[in-house]
Amino acid sequence: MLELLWIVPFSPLLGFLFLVLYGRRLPEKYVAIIGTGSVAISSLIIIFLWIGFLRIFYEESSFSQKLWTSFSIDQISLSFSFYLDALSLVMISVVALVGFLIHLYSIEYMRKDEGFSRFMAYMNLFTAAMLILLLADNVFLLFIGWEGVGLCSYLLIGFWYQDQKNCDAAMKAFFMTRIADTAMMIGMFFLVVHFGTNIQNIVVNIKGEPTSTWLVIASILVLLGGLGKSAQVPFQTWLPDAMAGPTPVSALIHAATMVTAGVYLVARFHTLFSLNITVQELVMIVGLITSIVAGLSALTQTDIKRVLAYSTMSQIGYMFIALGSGAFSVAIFHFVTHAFFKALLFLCAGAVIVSLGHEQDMLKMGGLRKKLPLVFWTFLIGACGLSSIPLITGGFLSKEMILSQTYTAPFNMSHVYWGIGVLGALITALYTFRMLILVFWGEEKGKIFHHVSFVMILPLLILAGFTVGSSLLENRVIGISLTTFLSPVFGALAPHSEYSDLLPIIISLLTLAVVSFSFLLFLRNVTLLSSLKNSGLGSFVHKFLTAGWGFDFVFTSAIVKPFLLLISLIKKDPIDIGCGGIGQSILWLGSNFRKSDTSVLGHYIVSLILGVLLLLGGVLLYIFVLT
Amino acid sequence: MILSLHQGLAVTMIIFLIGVFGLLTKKNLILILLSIEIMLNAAGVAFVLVGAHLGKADGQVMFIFILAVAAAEVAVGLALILRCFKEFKSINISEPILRRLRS
Amino acid sequence: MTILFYSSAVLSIIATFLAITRHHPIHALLYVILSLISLSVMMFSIGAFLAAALEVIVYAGAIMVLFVFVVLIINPLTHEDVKCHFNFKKLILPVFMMLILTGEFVFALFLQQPTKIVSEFVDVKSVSQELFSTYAIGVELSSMILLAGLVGAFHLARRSKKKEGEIS
Repeated sequence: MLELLWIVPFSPLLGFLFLVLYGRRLPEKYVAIIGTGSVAISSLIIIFLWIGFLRIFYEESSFSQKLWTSFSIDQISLSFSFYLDALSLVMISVVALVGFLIHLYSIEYMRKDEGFSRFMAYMNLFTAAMLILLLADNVFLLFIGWEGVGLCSYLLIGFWYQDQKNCDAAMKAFFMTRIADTAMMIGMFFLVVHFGTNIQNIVVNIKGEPTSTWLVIASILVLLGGLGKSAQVPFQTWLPDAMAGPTPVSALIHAATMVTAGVYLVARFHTLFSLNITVQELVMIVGLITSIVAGLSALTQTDIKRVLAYSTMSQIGYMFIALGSGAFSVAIFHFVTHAFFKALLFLCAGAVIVSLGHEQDMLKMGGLRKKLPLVFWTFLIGACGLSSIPLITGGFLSKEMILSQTYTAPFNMSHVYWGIGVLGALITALYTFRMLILVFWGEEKGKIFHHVSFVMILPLLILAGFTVGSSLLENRVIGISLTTFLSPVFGALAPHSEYSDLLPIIISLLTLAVVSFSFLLFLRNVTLLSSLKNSGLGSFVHKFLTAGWGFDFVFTSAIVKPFLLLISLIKKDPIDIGCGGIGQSILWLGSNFRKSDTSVLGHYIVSLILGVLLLLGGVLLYIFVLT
Repeated sequence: MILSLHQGLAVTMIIFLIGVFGLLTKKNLILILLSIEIMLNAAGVAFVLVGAHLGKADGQVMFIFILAVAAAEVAVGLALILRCFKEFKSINISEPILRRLRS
Repeated sequence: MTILFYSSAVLSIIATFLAITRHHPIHALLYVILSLISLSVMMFSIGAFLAAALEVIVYAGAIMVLFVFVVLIINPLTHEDVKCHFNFKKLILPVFMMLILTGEFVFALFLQQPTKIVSEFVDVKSVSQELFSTYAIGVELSSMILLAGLVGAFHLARRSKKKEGEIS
């Protein structure tokens, strides 16, 4: 059964090829069927893979399938080999499932668009690349998947390319992730040089290495690569602008799957990162900074998709916090729950946007609770997952596990980090419910243009069901535990005996308090808010937070402007002018020499005698020097 | 006074220089050609002097060749002058028509 | 012998100088002929008999005569007015160049030690032997040059068939 593994990435790839070649000529129905069907096939195969994997789970914990080798020189090789263990199985299940639901959703969403087949083709290519990335057992294959998702992200952000703004956003995403990718490549090459290209080989052998400087450098470089793809500080400014793409794209790529590629990278190379305590602390600090920066920025946004983008950044920050504290399986658990509720939130937002006639400004929305009931309830479930409201959704469980692991992490300041994490959770609750209230409560400001059809509602319902159901993934009562499932990969979770059971209860109560406070603030005391915003300090803080803490401004003035200045200096192509200058000078010389042709006989005679003089003088000089 | 090669060569030198001066200064085409002949002759005499000094026949042989070349060149040059006179009705090189020989 | 040498040398220098200062072409030509003949005497005095003879026969006797014929045909003086005044400004450049050339020649001359002018007389027989053995090819080439000159002169100076009533 496990031999069907290769179908999983190749089915969407085939779908992509077919759509890219013939999609324009096919009617919409067939494009939709092929596009969604290829991902459905992958999901189906994954079900078989689960069955097969669980059967062999107690004897061996992984399965690898080698398709072919492109080249092989000593240790360096490019072999298309897939590796299936608990980590990759969990991740491809989420990617395929969420991907399938989003493909279904986008049939209705993008149906009227004239680039529908192009859209489906790109989405398929993205799914294929992501699956290749997750299943890769070879560093170069990982690259192929990595670059593939980056490419598709670019193509899909700039999908409506007629608008320059979208193209700029796409390029910004591409450039930023490119810079990070370069760091990652260098780090990877360090590892390849020492351990060869087989990823499992690298992961296993690193454990035996004593901590050396180059390993630390390699880990930092690989981390930088992951930070770029996952939109963490300092590479985070591309994600809010990436919301220029269609909503299904934001849901799939920039919420559930691609941005978690960085998390997957760190998790896959977990032995590399657990070698040095400073690197671990660095990972955690990056996660903390991002979650706070993004959370605060989300508080003041007016575009509903931008709120969700900053929220994604913040939640992935939480995943990195988990990675930094050594609890890799908890990070994956949070990834699973986050994928469900974030995709749900994005799709609901898309439904709201479409119903209001492509209106994305939350200040122009309001009171949609009665008008769009299904959307409202699913959105509420997603919001509960995001703010980790206790007992309803799995989001609560994953965040609580992260916080407990942070508390017991082997750092000096781990209690402080825990405190910051709790603060971040409260801020998350605040901005989530602000968004909810602004859209669904209050007076009605927008007009419903048309109601969404069932094809769009269905994925919402399914995802809502999964969000609630993901709380069952770590349920001691039933006996399922995702973290134990992942323990062959990462090792067992460190026990947290010093983390009293009282703390999660306190945090939950605080969260509920913040939720009710948000109702009070955003629903009742709107005047208080506006007066706060208009005050001197308040308006500055508001502007600062809306601009994402000024990172864009810093990047533009420190990097982009000097670069453009340098380019403008060589705009006239000085080297070409220099090369042309040789020809120019010869022409000038020639035209000046031509002036000696005066056609006056007397001049010619004079120049003749002059030549004789010079010649004779030269010869005499020569003789004189010789003697 | 002993006769030395230097004195003989000095004589030819002076004649050559006079020829150069004539070449540079004169306006009449025929006189320019004449100056060229003076120069050629001076050169030939120099050859003869050196040949006599060395006691070899090569100097005079060279002189004979120079003579032949000068003869041919004079013939062609004078034919050209005749042509020039026919076309432009003047052999004074300072006149405008001859000054711009392009036309 | 030496007196002959010096006097003929001086004579030829004076004659050449006078030749270039005349503006009547016939006068200049006659002075040049005088100069050539005196040079020939100079060559006689050092024993270069063939060269001296050939100078008179070919140079003074054929080439200069050719000049005279052309001058007679063209008759240039009737076409220009007699200008006697010297234009000193126009002489600066020639004189300057002359001086440099003179300096160079003098320098070249005194690079060597002064030596006796004649080691032995070279007679006609040895010259002609040399001419037709070692330099035979030169003889052939100079005959070709003369042929070229003949053809060229003939072609250039003949009367063109289109024009009539022209002096050719």
